[in-house]
Amino acid sequence: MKIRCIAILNRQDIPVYMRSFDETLNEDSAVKYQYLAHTSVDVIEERMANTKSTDLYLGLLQTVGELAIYGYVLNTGARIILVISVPESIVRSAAIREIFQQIHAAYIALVCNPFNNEQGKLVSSKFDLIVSELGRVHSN
Amino acid sequence: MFFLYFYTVTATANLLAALSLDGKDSAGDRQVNGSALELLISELVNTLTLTTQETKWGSETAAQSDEPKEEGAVEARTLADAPKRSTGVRSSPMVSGWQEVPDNSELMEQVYVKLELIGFRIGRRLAERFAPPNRRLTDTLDIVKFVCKDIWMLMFNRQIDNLKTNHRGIYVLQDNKFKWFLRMSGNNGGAAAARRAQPYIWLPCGIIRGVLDSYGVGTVVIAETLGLPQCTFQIKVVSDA
Repeated sequence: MKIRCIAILNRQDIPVYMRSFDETLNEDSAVKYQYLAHTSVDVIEERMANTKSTDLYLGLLQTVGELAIYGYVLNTGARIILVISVPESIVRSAAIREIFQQIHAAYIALVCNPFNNEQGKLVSSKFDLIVSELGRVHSN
Repeated sequence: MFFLYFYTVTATANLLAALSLDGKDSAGDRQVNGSALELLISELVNTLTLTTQETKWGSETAAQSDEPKEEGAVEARTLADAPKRSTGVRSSPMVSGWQEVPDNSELMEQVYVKLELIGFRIGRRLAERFAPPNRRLTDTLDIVKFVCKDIWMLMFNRQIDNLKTNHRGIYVLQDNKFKWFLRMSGNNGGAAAARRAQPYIWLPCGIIRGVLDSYGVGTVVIAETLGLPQCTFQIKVVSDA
């Protein structure tokens, strides 16, 4: 399993953080992941309206080609999207859930920083470091 | 070179290990003495009032004086000068607090705005930090109950005594032994003491509004106290979750 992209959108569905782990960094991949994030939001809305469970982890949202997209919602409205390349072996949902919880914990630390600009994009070198580490750990 | 790489790898691996949703360190729960917050609050209100008055009074005299403005001019005015030109605040740098609530309602309105805004920012961060990590808060009543139980427990180590709602967007939270009022006593009796305690509940108003706003509920929060140590917060929902 390899993490391809981690994206965070705020309550108004505006992407505030986008990080892709493609080797070939070109504009196509950035646009592709933005598009994927936006289509996933529709699935998230539908999933949240329909499901009776009050879980933060929304599970597999959709699969596009060789990519699988998972979603996670925060109580404060932010949505976290995780795009991974479909692996040969079965991916346990517990592993994905743990990745989301780590991103959530890092996001909380980011928001609690009083020097952080609340309205704009999330800019934090420590958060970038944590996301890079997650990408590195799960790129086997 | 390899050693450096190895070091950065282990350092960042520890970064992941240190992440936890409930804020517990590997060293255990990190806690701060609650009295620190009480001391901070009583000084916060007083300091904001004095500095707001200082800047207001400062801007008036700067407009009137025709001396050339210099760097030293600001420091020359000490807090000891303030009572001579103030409108009803009798306080000296030695004694914290005031004998009377300042009559200047415009001043207190500015202090209210500042305190409420500070509380709002605190509330947003509290909401993010202490949101229940494994379930979604679904409707407004759920969110208000979360405020009553969890946020109050975090800040004051007790829960709201009474929650009333008309199910049409108005919630009344009643706290009969508000923690920050427990150490206040007025020698003039109930009504005057209640009036003087008013600024100290503006911060919790902001905090409640910040928490609710984080969860998508736009509100207006008003607090009043009929007699120490009781206080009531009234939440009017403006835009729903």
